[in-house]
Amino acid sequence: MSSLCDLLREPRDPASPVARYWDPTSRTDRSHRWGDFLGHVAALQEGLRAEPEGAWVLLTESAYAFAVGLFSLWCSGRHAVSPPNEGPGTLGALRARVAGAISDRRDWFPEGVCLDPLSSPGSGAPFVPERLERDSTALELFTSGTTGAEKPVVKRIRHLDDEVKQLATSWDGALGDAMLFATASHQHLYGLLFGVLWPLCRGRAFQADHFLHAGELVPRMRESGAWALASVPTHLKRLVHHDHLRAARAGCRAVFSSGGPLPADTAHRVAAVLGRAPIEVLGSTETGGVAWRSQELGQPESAWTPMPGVSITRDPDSGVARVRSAFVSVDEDGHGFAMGDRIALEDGGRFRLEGRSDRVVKVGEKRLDLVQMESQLRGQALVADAALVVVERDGEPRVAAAVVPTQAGWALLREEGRRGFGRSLAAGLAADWHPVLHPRLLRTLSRLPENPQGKVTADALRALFREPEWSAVDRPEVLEELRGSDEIERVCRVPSELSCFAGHFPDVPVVPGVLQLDWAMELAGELMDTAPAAEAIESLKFRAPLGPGALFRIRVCVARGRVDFRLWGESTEHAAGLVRLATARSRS
Amino acid sequence: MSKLEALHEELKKLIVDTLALEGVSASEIETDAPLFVEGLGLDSIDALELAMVFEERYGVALDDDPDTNREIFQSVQSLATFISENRVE
Repeated sequence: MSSLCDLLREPRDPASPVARYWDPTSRTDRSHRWGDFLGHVAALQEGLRAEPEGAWVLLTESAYAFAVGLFSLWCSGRHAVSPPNEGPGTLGALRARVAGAISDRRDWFPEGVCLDPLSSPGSGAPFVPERLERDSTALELFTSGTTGAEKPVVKRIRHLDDEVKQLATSWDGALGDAMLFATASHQHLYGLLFGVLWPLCRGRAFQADHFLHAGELVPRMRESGAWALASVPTHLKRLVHHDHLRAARAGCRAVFSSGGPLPADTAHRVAAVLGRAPIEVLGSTETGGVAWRSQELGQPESAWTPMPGVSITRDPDSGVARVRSAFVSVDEDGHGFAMGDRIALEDGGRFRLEGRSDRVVKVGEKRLDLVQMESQLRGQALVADAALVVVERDGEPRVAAAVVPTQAGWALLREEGRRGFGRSLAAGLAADWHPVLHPRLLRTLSRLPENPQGKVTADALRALFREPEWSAVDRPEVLEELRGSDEIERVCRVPSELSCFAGHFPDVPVVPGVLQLDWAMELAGELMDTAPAAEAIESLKFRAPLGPGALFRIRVCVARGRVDFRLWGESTEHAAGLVRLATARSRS
Repeated sequence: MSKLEALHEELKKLIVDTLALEGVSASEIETDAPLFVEGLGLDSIDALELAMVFEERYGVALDDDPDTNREIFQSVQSLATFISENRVE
């Protein structure tokens, strides 16, 4: 096991693999080897020495290219800045305080110096790397902004080196020669440590590409023999949705998850499919990994165990975790870094999480624990998942809710619209919270806005509510319904906040014909109990426009493989049509 | 409407429903417009979500070639072609 400081000076077989990568030219997977790595670093650090010193933005698609950039910067006495995202605004704002950029995506850096990490010419002069100083600045990262704005965090070589050593102490035995796959980005601390620096120091190969789909991961995992995965809850939830990963089960040495707590059912499913319970790592950009746990099937929710060398205490005033360790890079008052997580200590130094401290807010002079209300909402029959944030409306703080409805929730939304849905949520909250604390703004979504690290940040939530009363209503309000076995007739009103009005003829808002057809086909679907597949439209007429607020009747009849529909008002017919259905097929 | 056209419409609706795209109706999605970044602005998590739904509904699995997968997810048109050629009924 090498130290980061001496890594480039270690005698190592030039043919030993460092990283596997997808080569789009030959459309095959290939390897960068130790000799290639030294060559790439030698050339890039030469190129860097001809450029100004100081901080350089390092932003790459390839994890291998990131490693080359990082060591080249360090060898040439410079350090890296890993931007929080690749948005042009973010990169533009950074440009003033860095000397240049290293990237395999020149198009992200239209202005200023941008060096490609893998195609510096290099003079071929012998490269004799010096030992890296433990105390020199290595890398600036940004906090993910769970609590608000992104803040820079400076890591020294020793912070990274000590944490890599600690990962090795904890899990080297389990991993053996496993190839490291990471769905977590190397631009953030967790992905960098687990997916790049740890394998590099230990002489394990890693994947330069971040494959997310099982179709891409499984064949490569099988090919590598033994493998380990550094993932995040967002990705794991979807990866284990199907059983595909089972085909790679034999080589699985470890699955790591970080960035947020892993739901117990996902953890159990990973264990069932891959034969190993995932190892969850709790940490932050400021502290690195501080604790871990594994949720075993049939066990009560497990407590977190501090990593070796990490001391965790509970702040007596705020209840939050205070962390002391060699790789905490921010410890202003010498009392340890205060994390945003409140904890309850158990015997043997283990602890449980009790919610985020920054989630206690004041609205209308009343105190509200957002975590408590979120968990109450999740318990409601209409709600699959929920996240709350406080936004300002007319100078007043207001609770805003992003809700993922259950099937019953979607059904209610269809029947009663967002207002009816909101009233129903509020009724469920009334016993525990004053009405002023009930969510005043509501967005219904199929999933919460998770960032690539799997966190639902306050910023992403606030962004949902930036547009005032923005609506995704795309169905009419139902006032009355008559239903036969093959026929539905409804009395409806066109909601004035129908989403298509936003872009459809601003002066004369009308319901587009295709949407009327959608409504008819949706009713046909309810009659048939399956989504109807249209084969041909045999006739379709739109006679009179349908505007906001209009009352209308819609009748849909399914017979002899056809959907016959009609929309009409008190004195006019709006639309009528006949749609032939594709021959019914059985779905597996 | 040909079968492929019907599949285009079905996919647009599925995309809007699966991702609950706010303020986007199925009819606004152009068949040959890019779905990711510059087009509809979908991200990698949306792609995971869609791949999951396509798999459930049509029995299609993605390739191990990331460039092929990128081409498949290029637009509604490329998705429909891929699904119609690979679907398991």
